[in-house]
Amino acid sequence: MGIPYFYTLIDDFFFSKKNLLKPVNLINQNVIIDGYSFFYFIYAETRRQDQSKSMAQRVTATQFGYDGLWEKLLNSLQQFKSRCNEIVVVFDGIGKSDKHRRPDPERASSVIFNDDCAGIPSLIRDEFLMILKELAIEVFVCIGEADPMVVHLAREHNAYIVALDTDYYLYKINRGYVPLSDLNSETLAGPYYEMTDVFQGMTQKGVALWATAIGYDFISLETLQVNFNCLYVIEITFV
Amino acid sequence: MVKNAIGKREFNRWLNEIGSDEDKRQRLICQFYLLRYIQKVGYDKAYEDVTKLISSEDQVEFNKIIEGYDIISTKDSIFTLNHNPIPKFLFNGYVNGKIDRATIDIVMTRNVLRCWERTDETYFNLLLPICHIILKWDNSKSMNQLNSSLVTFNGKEYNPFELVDSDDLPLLDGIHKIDKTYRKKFVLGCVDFARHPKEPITWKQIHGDYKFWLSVLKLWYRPNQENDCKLKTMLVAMIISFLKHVFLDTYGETQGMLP
Repeated sequence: MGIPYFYTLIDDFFFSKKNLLKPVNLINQNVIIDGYSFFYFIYAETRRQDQSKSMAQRVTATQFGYDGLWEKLLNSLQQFKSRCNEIVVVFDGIGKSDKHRRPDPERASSVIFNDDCAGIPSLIRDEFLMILKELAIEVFVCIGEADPMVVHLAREHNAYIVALDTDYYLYKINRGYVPLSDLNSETLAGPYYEMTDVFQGMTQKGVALWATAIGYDFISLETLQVNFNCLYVIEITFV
Repeated sequence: MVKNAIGKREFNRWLNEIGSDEDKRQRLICQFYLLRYIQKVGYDKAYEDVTKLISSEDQVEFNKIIEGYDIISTKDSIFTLNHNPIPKFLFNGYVNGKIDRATIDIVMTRNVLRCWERTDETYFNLLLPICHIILKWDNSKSMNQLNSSLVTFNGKEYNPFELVDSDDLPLLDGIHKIDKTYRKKFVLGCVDFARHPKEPITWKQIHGDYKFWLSVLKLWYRPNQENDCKLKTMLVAMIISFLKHVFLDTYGETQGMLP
C-alpha cells in the first residue's frame, strides 16, 4: 500500500527513541521474500556501490547491465537457498487502482532512485524470475498486491518476512519482519520487528483501523487532524 | 498497556526540527495523533469515533479493508471479462511466474499493455493473435456476447477477429500441450504477423533455433533519419551480446573453466 511518510515516522522518530534491537539469524528459518522489494533493493545497493567506481566498472552505467546484476542477485539468493529452510518469493500482480487509496505526493517505497540517466533495466524482473527458476526457489505471483499474500504465507509457514516496505509493520505475524537494509547478506543476521514495536499495545484490528483511516481517503486529513488532535496524546510515561 | 510512550511535546519538537512542507507535516500529525488516540481509548471506542466521520455508503468498503488485515482471502482462480474461470494451466502458469501479467490482463480486462505509455502499434500487433485465442475461448464459454469481440489498446478498440486470420491459431484449451515444433512455429507466426512482411524472410542455412530471434530483430530494426546511427549501434550490441551469451557465458555452470 505505501503510507507516505510512515517510514519517516517510524525510522526517524519512533525507532530513534527506543532501543528495539531484536536480533535474528535466518539460517534454518522459513522465509517469505517480497520480490519487488528484493530486486529493487539489490539494484539500489548496486547503484550506490557504483558511485565510487569508474564508468567502465559500473554495473548500472547503462540500462543493459544485466550481467553484473545477474551475479549479485544470484549470489544473494543462493545464500537464502542454501541456508534457509523454506523460501517463497512473492511478486505483485496486476494492479487494480483503488479509488479510495489516498493519493500521495511520492510513492512511499523505501527505495528511491536518483534521477539520473540510467533507469532500472526493463527486463530485471524477468532476469530475477530466471534466477529463481534456476535455483528452484518457489515463486508466487499475486493477482493484486503482494503484501497481503506475503503476510498470509508468513503466517501459514511460520516464516520471517524479508522485504523493504513499511506496510509489513501493519500486520501481526508470528515471527517478524526483517528489513533488507539491516540484514547482513553474508551471515543472514539482522534485526527483526513486529507490529507492536510501532503500534505498542494495539491489536491487529486497531492497527487495521489506523492504516485504513490514514491510507485511504474515507476521511480527509483535515478532519482527522481536527477530530483526533493532541488532547488525547499521551503526555506522561506509564506502564 | 503502553510502555514509555513518546508524547506530543517530543513529537512536535521533532516535527519542527525536520522542517517538513505543509502536506508532509499534516500527514505525520494525523498518523501520530490517530495512533496515540487508538492506544489511549482502545479499539472499540476509536472505531466508533472514526466511523462516525465516514459516509454511510463507504462504511461497507471501509470495514472490508479493515477485516482484510486479519483474514487475508486467497484466490484460487482468475475470472475473465465474461466471468469464466481461466483454465487451470493458465492460472498456475501465471502464479508460478511463467506467464506474463500482460497476458492475464488481456484475459481479465481485455486491455492490452494497459500500463504502457508508448503508442507503437508493433507491440500490440505482436499480441493480437493471443488476443484472438483468448477472446475466442472466452466467448465460446459464455452466453453473453455483448461487446465481447473487442480489446482496448491505448484507448482505442480493436476487433482481433477482424484483424487476425484464425486458420493456423491453436485453441486455448490445448495450447499448453502443443509440441515444441508447433510452439516455435506459432511464436514465429506472431512475430511475422506484427512485421506485416511484404516478402517473407529467406531462411537459407539459418538454423531454426535462431529464426525467432532474427525475426524479432527485423521487427525492431526500423531505422530512419533520426535514429539510424543509434539503432545500428544497438543492433551491433545485441548481436555481440547474443553471441557472447550463446558461446561464452555459462553463468556459474562452468565456474573457473575456460570457455
